[in-house]
Amino acid sequence: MAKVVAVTGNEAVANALRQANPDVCAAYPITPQTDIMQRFSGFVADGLVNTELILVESEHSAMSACVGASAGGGRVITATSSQGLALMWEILFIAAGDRLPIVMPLVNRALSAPLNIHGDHSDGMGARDSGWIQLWSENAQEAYDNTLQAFRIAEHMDIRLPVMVCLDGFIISHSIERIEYLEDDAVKNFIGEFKQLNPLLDVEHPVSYGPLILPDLYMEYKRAQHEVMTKVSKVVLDVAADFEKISGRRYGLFEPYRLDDADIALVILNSAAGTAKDAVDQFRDRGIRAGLVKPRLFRPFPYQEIADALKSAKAICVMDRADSFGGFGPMYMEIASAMMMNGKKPILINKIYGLGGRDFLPEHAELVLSELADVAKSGKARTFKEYIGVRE
Amino acid sequence: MDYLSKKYLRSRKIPSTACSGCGLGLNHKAVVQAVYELGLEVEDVVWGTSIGCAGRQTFGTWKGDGFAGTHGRVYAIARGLRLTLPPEKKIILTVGDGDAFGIGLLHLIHASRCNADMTIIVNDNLGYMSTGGQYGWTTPHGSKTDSSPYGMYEHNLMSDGMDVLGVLKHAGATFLARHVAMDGQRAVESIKKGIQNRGLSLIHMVFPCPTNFGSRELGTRDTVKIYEWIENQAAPLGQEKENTVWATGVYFDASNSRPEFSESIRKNVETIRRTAAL
Ligand code: SF4
Repeated sequence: MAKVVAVTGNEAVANALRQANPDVCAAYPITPQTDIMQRFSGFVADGLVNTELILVESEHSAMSACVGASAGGGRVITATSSQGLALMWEILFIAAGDRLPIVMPLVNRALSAPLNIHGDHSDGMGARDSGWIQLWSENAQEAYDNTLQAFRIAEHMDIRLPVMVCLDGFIISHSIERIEYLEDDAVKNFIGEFKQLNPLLDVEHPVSYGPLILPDLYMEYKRAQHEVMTKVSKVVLDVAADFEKISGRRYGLFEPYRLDDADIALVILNSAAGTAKDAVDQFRDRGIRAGLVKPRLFRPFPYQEIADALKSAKAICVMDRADSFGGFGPMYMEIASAMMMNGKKPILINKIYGLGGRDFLPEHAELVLSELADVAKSGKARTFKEYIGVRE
Repeated sequence: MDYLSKKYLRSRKIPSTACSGCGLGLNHKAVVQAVYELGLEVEDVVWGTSIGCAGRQTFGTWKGDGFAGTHGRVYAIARGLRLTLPPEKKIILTVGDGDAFGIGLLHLIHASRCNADMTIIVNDNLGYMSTGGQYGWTTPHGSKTDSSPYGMYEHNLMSDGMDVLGVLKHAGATFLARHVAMDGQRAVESIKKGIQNRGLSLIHMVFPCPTNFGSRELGTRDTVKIYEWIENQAAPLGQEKENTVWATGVYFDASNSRPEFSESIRKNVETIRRTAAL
């Protein structure tokens, strides 16, 4: 039986981590994530988990400790935000390159400079190429559900890769919502016991992690890393199917919203997608065929599936809560690539919104949808990349 | 706003966003007072800040040049700056305990090793208070914090006879002092000495955090209680009592005894240029 509670996003994620009962957690505080590790350290202190908690002196050390513990052969977690993730950058690649199934909630927050503690996606997008699997979450329920599923995905014997679960700083991490918690036993059965693969602590079978490999073999390693990524989508869907059985909640690689027959569509991540869905409904009520795609699995990116889902759209706006300065927003570039798959060429525009926690309001979504309706009719884009909700 | 803050600080940043009752303002005031008593002007000082309460509440308050570093990197940034600034410009850094003695300790040790001219005021609220009150590397043993609800028991840089100032002394810092925020003029005098040392000076200044430290350790946000708690456990060096955690005053003074980092680089580069066939 599920239990309905009113909790913050951080609290929900911390509870998921408790239910997963990891062997090792390395923690370092950073706003707005602190609350997760804070609550988790409370679970450790109260004996509710069998976890060794290491309080480290920086995020670089946190991820390093995770790498060590994971290679040692344990279920390992940490959590971070923004600058913390930036400081981990070096070790992120090592966790992925060594195929270590670490699970890390990332409470999305803007990157410095200037210093800002509020939510945007520049941290997660910056880690896009690190080899981590990324799951993105619209609300606290999704953050909780994704965290539980992350363990199954990371630890799957065909995968063994680290997973980052993204949720919006403050907007989700600190807002109280209605959540359904699964029973501890149901979670335990769902996630299962941690299974070791090539653990360093198995002294009878010595293994090496991360040794020097020169041009003679390095590329084969990287090719293998790519290969494993191609298997992730299937595992994500299998895990989602199992999860639906115990929760009744259905997850895919992305969420299509009123997309069949849509002439115009938004592509938008995380909490702002919730706001944008209301605007889509309004346009539908007015007889305008609007729809929306909310990506969930961002790495590996489901290019073909999303291209198929967007096949009827004549004009699409990709909304990015992060920028690639001098380029388009990171999500835009993915969707542009996806559009090549079916050889269709809808008009694709890019809006950058909500940086540093700037509010994304229903009127912003409405303006974008109105513009898209014009673009679809005229067949011409006014401009391809634009900041919205900004003082010029 | 008093005369000093008008002269040196940006009016729109004062009062700061610190919680009411926070002792950080006392430390901030002591630094500005020291600058004033040394007859320095706004343009004589470049002021750097870090992350956390100490960074956030002092950042951008200085009327003159300033920078905000990332967590723990201010000493590395300041070393770079030291090489490019005219030698007479002073670098003053107001940072926190997590910044200096945790995430940035390695940079601090190397800045000390090469005796780079800067004065660092480590504003110590006894842990990670801006993120809600987790224990850190100077949290007194036994203190209740959010991450040590049953009392802090880990070894840290201020426990079991260990003293972070000892670490820095052996790393090569040339002026080291310790104070609590309530030390008033005694702290100002130490900061003045620190600024006058051409080399790395560090003043460790414990200050009361009623919001997150006091509320957990003492069970109250009553400002007076946390001020008393710190005051009772501080005593001037040489007059320590059994319960003294913070012995205050000048811990080590080897001011102007060792070549300064940028000076030594300039001199050596000059010699190499003259003697080597470039
Ligand atoms: S949390 Fe504590 S140290 Fe930080 S501003 Fe408030 S009182 Fe001061």
